[in-house]
Amino acid sequence: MGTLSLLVFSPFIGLIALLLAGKQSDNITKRIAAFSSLIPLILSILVYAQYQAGSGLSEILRWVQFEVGEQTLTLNYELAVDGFSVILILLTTIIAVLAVFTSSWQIKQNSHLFFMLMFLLEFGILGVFSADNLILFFIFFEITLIPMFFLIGKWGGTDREESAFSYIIYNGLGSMVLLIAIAAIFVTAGTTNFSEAAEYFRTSNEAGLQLGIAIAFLIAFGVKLPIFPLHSWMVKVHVHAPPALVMIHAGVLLKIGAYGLIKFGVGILPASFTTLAPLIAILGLVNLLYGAYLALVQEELRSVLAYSSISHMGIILLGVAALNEAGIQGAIFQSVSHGLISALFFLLVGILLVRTRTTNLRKLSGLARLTPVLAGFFLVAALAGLGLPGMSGFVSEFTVFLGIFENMPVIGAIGTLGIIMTVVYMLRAILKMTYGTYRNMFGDMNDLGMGELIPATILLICIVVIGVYPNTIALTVQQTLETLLVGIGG
Amino acid sequence: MDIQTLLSFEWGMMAPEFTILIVGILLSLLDLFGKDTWKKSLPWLAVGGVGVAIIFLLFQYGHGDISILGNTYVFDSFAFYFKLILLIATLLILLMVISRTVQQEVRDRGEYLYLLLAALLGGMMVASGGDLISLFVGLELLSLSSYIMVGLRKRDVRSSEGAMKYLINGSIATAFTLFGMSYVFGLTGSTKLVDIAREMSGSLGSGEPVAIIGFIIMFVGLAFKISTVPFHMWTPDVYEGAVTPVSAFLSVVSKSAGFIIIVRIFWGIFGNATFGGSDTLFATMIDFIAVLAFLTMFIGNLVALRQRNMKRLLAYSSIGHAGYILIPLVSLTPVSLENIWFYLLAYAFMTIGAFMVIYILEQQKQSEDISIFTGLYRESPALAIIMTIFLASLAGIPGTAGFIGKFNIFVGAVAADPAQYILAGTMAVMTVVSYIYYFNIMVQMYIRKPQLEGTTKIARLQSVPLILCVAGTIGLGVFPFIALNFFH
Amino acid sequence: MTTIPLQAYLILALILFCIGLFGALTKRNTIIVLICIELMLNAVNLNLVAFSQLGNNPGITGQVFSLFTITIAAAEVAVGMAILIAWYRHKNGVNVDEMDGLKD
Repeated sequence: MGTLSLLVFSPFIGLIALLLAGKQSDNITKRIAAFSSLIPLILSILVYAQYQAGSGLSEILRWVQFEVGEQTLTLNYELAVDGFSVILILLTTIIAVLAVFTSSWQIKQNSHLFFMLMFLLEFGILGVFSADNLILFFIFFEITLIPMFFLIGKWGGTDREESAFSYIIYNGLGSMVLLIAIAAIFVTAGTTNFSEAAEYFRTSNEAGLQLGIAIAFLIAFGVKLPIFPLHSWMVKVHVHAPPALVMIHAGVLLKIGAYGLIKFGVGILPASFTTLAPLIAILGLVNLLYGAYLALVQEELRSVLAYSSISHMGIILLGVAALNEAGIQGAIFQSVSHGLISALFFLLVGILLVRTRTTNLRKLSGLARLTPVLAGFFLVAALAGLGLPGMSGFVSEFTVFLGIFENMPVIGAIGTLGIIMTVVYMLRAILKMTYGTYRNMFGDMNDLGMGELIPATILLICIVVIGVYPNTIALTVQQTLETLLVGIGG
Repeated sequence: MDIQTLLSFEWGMMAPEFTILIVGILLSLLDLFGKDTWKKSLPWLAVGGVGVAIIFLLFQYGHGDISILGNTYVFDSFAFYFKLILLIATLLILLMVISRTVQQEVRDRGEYLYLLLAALLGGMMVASGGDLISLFVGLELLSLSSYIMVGLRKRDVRSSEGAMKYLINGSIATAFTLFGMSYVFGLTGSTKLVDIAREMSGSLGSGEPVAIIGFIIMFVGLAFKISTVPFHMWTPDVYEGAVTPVSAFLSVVSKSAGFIIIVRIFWGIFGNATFGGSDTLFATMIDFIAVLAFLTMFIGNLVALRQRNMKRLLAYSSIGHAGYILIPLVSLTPVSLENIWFYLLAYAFMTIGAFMVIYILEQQKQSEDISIFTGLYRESPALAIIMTIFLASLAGIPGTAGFIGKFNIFVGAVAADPAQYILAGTMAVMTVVSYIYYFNIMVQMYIRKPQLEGTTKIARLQSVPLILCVAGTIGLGVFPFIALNFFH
Repeated sequence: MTTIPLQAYLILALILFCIGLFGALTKRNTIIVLICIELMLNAVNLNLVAFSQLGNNPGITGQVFSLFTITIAAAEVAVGMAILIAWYRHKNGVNVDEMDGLKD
């Protein structure tokens, strides 16, 4: 069993530990969960180091064979990482640790079950990013559905069950579309291994089928990302799910959409994606502007953040549509950067909720007076989100627009409008909360404690480091990027 | 036929059938004349009998094709693999019968046992039938025993009503099947499948319309057994009226037998019949079955959405699953048979498991409403997790047998020529629809609070079928190649 | 003796089958429903016997088949009557309409 398998299955250590411990007191449960959440983090750092050192991490194990006529279709358990996925794995484990830590003061009931489901979710996500063939990817992708469903449905806010069902229906449909596409690839190419499938489609000339598969990918990952008409579930999840979960959801789960689009869409079917590029660019633009516009009129902080996520995902789409080095690099940057920023945001939302029990912007004002540190963090997160130079958001948006201006200047020009709107809605929401007169509605509030300060600071450091030294990511993804560019022919 | 030819047959090949027959007769005699003290051990005798039959059957693994009694009894790999499903499923159901804790109708107990075995024998005869007559008699043995089993709780009005509906529907379906068979017989002048296939492989000439009418009428009649459109309406009523183990039996064994006879007849006969010069008759009629499959998936899954009675819910879900299994029948790839077999095996484990959980709860709470699951995670975490596994498998979540089964069907449908994208797409959408009602049960178990605080215990005997079903569901999901390699 | 053509038997059987089906689906009295089902099965018998005498490859198989059909039809009715008696004890009637205890 290689390091990668160890990493993927490491969340089970926590799960089994919790299972064996049974229903202990809350404190013990939380301590077990917190410690065992560190194991995947350590292993992922190890994987990262091994990847940087250039040692091979891929694993392969025979699983199932289908014989259709003279064709033999083999299905293997194969894991591998590339530059993009290794960064997302690292992002996952970091955010998972922080989410487990923060949920320990947010989750009051059934924490035992909550942490078990969290670990199951982490297992699914790590598997998604480590899988080296489409079917394995799909299996892990589906596995994330169940823990998410329960985490939303059981520990969420007012409309939790409705949100959970909306989550499962949209994502179920998305994954079924993905399954059809995967089955089609499996049958035509005879393999689902990423590189082998890419190799097959480079030489085959079934343009119609390829386009069909590409559209299926766009729909399937469009649900996850989400792309404009398929987004309503995601807003519900952002608003009604527990904030600790949304850290993982907005931070990592949505990135599966970006990851899939870049790795499968552009990676396996570059020709069809070139055909689809204008469509993707327009969808990206719609996402960017629509999300920004709706974020401007929300009265609920979590809705603002949800629509801001939609808007930021539009930037990823623009990067993918640009189909050049800068564009795709920007999309990758934006995935990581948005992951960190939204994780920070929802960490802060969780902290705020414990104190005020509401995130309605009408009710909140003047927080800066009572809790200056919390307000300060909110402001910094907002600045990162609107792309202030020196923060990760700036690097990614800048690179994306660099790429899109090269290919589609008109779309780029309209897109900058979205950036301006981002500034407006971010500052509107945050300033409304932090400044203004303080109405003593929530009684005395403590500022951030040590346990809250440390996670927030860790995320902030990551954001700034990427903003100042973008090469930390750029160098890691360089090789992956080059492989993708060869496929596009750029 | 003199004594010499009779002795020359390889009677050993019928050992599993004989075992079931002898044990069945023995059970009925002991139940009639035996002392009351013996009666407690009768179920174990039945379990032992089925176990011995499985062992006999396994000894025949890899045995060459054989047909005895003038081609009316056929042993081939098809018969072997599908009989295995029937036997395993019946074994699980017998364990389910044994485990019951509420002894309301103790006196009926023996009757359930030998009726189950008689029905199983009918199913096995169907699997090995090589002649329209033996197929028909086997099928009727299965049906008649099932009618009685459904109606056996005669003091319960629902049981009688269910049995009556089942019998009327079933008899009409039988008449349809027979009417179709009579046309097939008329075209070829024989009831032996081999002869019919040979006769039909030549040009049918003016007989073509008759063959098509025979095909459609026979398929409609057999749709009753697998509860697909147009003969699906009995399913929820009968499942609700029958005792839960019998519902499980109808849902798994009876349905499997239905698929067996459909594969035997339609692939065996019409798969060889030429039509219009080039295609086989079956290939030209594919659209007809495809429409039925589409309607079945659609109706089963959509109506299941508004069920509150658990047995009715599983009935509609079983209609939906029957629709899925029709897809490989239509796709006609070399893996179709394998896909049907694997799906039926997976379906047996997960459905019997789900019925078992319902059976346990039903005995403790005296209700079949979905509310028996409310707050189950608090009352009994183990039972809740086990039910989750079965539901996940029914919904087709990876890691379970149901996923592999569905994925196989999916790949088969896409690989078919012409590719059945519409059916694959319908199956995908309906799978998502089925998420809603399966996950709704999970919501009841995990998220809702129980109305009354209490604990639900699993008795030791009850845990046996549960563990076997969980092992089957997970085992086939993680190591599907074991079953698939076994099949080759 | 003029031979009656095969088609005549087939059409008669088809008509009988349809009458039986119509009756089974529309009659309210369960006993009549059972009788109608018998009619359908007898239409099958007519088909089988006619084919075995006048069809392709005439032989005795069809008549054997019809014997099996008759036997099983008898068994079916016997079971049906038994269930009907159980039902009668509950409802004091044999109307199909009253079978509405089980529904969605």
